[in-house]
Amino acid sequence: MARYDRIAALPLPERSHAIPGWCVMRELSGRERDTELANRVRLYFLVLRPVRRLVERGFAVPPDSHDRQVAAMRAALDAMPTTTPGLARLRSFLSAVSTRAPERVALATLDVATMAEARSHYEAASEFALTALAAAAHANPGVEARASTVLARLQRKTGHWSDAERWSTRAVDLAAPPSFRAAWAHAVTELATLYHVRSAQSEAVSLLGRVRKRVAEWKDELLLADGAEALAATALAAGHTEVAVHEGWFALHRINDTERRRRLLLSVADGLRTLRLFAGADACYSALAQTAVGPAERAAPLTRAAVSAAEAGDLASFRERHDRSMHEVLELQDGHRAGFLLELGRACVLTGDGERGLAHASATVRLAEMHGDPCLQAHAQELCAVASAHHDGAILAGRHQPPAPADDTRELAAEIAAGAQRVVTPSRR
Amino acid sequence: MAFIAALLPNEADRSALMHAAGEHRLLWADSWRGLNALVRDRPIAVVVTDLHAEPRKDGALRVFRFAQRFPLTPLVSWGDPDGRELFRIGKAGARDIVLTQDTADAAMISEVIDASLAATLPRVLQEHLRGRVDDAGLELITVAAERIADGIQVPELAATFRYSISTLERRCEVMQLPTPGRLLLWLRVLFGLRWLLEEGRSVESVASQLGYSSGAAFRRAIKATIGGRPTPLRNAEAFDQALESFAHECHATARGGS
Repeated sequence: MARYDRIAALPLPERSHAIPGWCVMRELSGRERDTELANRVRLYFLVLRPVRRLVERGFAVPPDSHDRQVAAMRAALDAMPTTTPGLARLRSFLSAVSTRAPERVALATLDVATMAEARSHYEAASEFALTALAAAAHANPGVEARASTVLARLQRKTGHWSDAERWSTRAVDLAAPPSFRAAWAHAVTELATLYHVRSAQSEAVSLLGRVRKRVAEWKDELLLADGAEALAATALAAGHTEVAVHEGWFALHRINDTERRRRLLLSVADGLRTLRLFAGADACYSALAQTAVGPAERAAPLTRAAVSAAEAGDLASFRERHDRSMHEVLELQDGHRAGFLLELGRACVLTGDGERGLAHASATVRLAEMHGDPCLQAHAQELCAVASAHHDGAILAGRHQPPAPADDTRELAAEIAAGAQRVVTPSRR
Repeated sequence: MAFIAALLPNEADRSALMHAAGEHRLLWADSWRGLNALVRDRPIAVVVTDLHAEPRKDGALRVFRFAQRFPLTPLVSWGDPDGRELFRIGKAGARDIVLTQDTADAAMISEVIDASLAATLPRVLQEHLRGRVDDAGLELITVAAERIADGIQVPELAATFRYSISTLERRCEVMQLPTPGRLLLWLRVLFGLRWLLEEGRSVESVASQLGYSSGAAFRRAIKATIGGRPTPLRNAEAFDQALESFAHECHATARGGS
């Protein structure tokens, strides 16, 4: 056996026996010759070290030494190419870590967990979330509940449902005091999503109803918005699209942060599109594209608008929107471009343009491979198979046949179409 | 105070470790072979090693072999590994790492060493007996255990607490501990049994580290405390039983008891 194989054949060490923070490196298991991924997870390991140190020493580290450690990491980030994905978020993470304030550190660590999760780096995300949980133990149960909810979500996504339920239940218990209402709403909605994934729809609906009722009882507008936003996000993921649209629109009028409003409006628009209420969805996408700054902000609504036209069967609009979207997508860095290309590829296949769909899907495979995103790569390969088989989109189209929305949702869609622009216009607030 | 074995060819790295080691004693090796020999023959609590100490050798594979031979002796790697190497040394059994960028920070290196010492016998004893013997008794046991590697004898133990030997004996009696001589005998046996759990050590080498003139003398010490012979005791269960027998002789209350 080759020398190399002696270590490759070893099982991964338990977290308690590993180098502190090393578990982010588990991401490399089976792919240790992937240099790009190796560099990325090494970066995760390095930035996590100051937090692990704070946690292990109860936040009582010599300030000078801590500052030096964070400064060394900042210097390492400065030396990286500006195109490194997530660089800005890592810098902001280090700023929070430098404060040594448990709550800020825990929340910032959770943010990086979410960033890793978005790239399908679930092992790394879990390690960040576990570290955030340990940091949150020095802050308050509300932050612990948030960390537990993220862990529940990661366990759900990796198919460990009993662990996911354990974390969710823990999060719900931790967030029981009234002062942690938003965390409670997130925790219960995550539990509802888990039930949804496990096909326990009645439990999922019952839990979502419970959240909705509680959220409606809250008098605090900000908490109300937090709860409704959480409910909207989870309901959308759980397939309760109408609930998601209603709650999302409700929350939109109570959120002050522009970026959060834009994100939420995009998800409301996606909900409307799923319900085939295309006019409402298109109005949201258009408002978002008009008020966007730079290609990165414009690409998402323009791409979704193109998908909307494809799903509506409006070929002329689709072509025009596709080209507009491509114009922005091509301005993006490689790492950010792949997801949009996949969406456009699916839309092309839907409209029967298998050739262009295949081209987009192949480009996505290449980019996903280059940037170490196995989840995106798998989806793109699936689309390649559909597109190269010259399907006319029937397979993809078959997936988008929701039941007709209720009348009040139709009325709401019209209201959203009329008010979308107002919601994202900065001068309004 | 513990013994640290280090394989650091670079002078600046040596100096950084010396600066951070504080009261711990450093023993230098000049090769992986020398490092293994040091751990086999001396009461080493932690190992610190540069992964590229021997340029033509695969550092991760050396870590793996070391961890197989001495699984209870934590290994701290030193250097600036790339992503793949970091993955491999973690998998191979390294317990912590001092990164090149941190070598100027003595506080951080000290923390890494202290954290690695958490699984050493004095700390294990402390955890095992905490709440079961009174605090003064626990302190006496811990201090004695920390100095077993130095070959501490009863007069030195008494001097550490500024007692005369007879006062120390009376204190032990009041605290319902074994006599100081028997306490040290027990601790040597526990250290020896724990080291014997590592396949890289022999009865002879363990006996020599504990100050016995031969393996036979160490065997007699085992017989005088827990009975039996060392070789069949090379398993974790036997060590746990020995630990519990020691606790019993210290009149420790039952686990979970008041």
